[in-house]
Amino acid sequence: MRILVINGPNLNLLGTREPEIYGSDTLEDISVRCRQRAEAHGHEVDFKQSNHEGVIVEWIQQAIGSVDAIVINAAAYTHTSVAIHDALRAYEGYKLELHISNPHLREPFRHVSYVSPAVDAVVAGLGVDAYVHAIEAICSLPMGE
Amino acid sequence: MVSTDLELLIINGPGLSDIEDRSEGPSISAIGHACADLCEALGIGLDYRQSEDEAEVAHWITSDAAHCQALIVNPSGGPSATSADYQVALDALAHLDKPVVEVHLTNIFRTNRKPLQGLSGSAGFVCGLGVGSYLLAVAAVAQQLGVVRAE
Repeated sequence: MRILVINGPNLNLLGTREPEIYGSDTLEDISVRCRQRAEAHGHEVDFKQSNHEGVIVEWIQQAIGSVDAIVINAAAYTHTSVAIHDALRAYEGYKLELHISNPHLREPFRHVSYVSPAVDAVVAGLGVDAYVHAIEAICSLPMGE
Repeated sequence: MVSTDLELLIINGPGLSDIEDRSEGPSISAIGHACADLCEALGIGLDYRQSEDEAEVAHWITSDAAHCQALIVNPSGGPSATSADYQVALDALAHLDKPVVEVHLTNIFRTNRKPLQGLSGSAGFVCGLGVGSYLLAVAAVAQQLGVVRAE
């Protein structure tokens, strides 16, 4: 199984940006842990980050027919991007939305997610460990066998 | 495996006792067995409950939750869970100084439902993974409590 992990804007600053909210692990640290967990199940992870909405849309489009599952932390685009919503709707594989903090418990402008109605599952507020837990959950799905 | 005195309380609210009949996945007792197996492997004590009685669930949250180290709640609800007392109890979750995770079997955002409001900023949320929502929450809580180290 191929799992694509997509990270949106500002997540390249992870580890330095507001560590009291997002923790001190860097995105590279998390990508290593995700790959190791997937490999333990015989699966592979492609871990990406972009600050550009169109790039993320293209990654989702390219995943159609070639990737079995997407984990997406669209970060700020979660709350604004109809384009990412539409791309996810077009992607027929398994889709999981992830957030390090819990957007519903933060500022009101983060309470609406255009991603949530377009995905199968949502994980939020469980810190950076959530990435590894999400990989584990996807590897444990019936389709992962 | 590490043996600990940690106890996890999992509360299932009204509207979940008949999920098997509604063919929305595993029964509430099957979920309980899966959670118990994982907790045993992690060395965490598990107190797993479900009630159709809002007042009973409210009591568990406002009283019994004080004795656990972490709480996982599927508030469920549905048409029956609308009493003011139940809402007050859910609001009380915000004041618990311990890990709290809200879980749902299905993706509530596809049916225009909303997550609990007013939880403390550290509360977690998982929906849409079926029994996996619970297992992910248990694994995350175990890590937050220091039962298992991040690899």
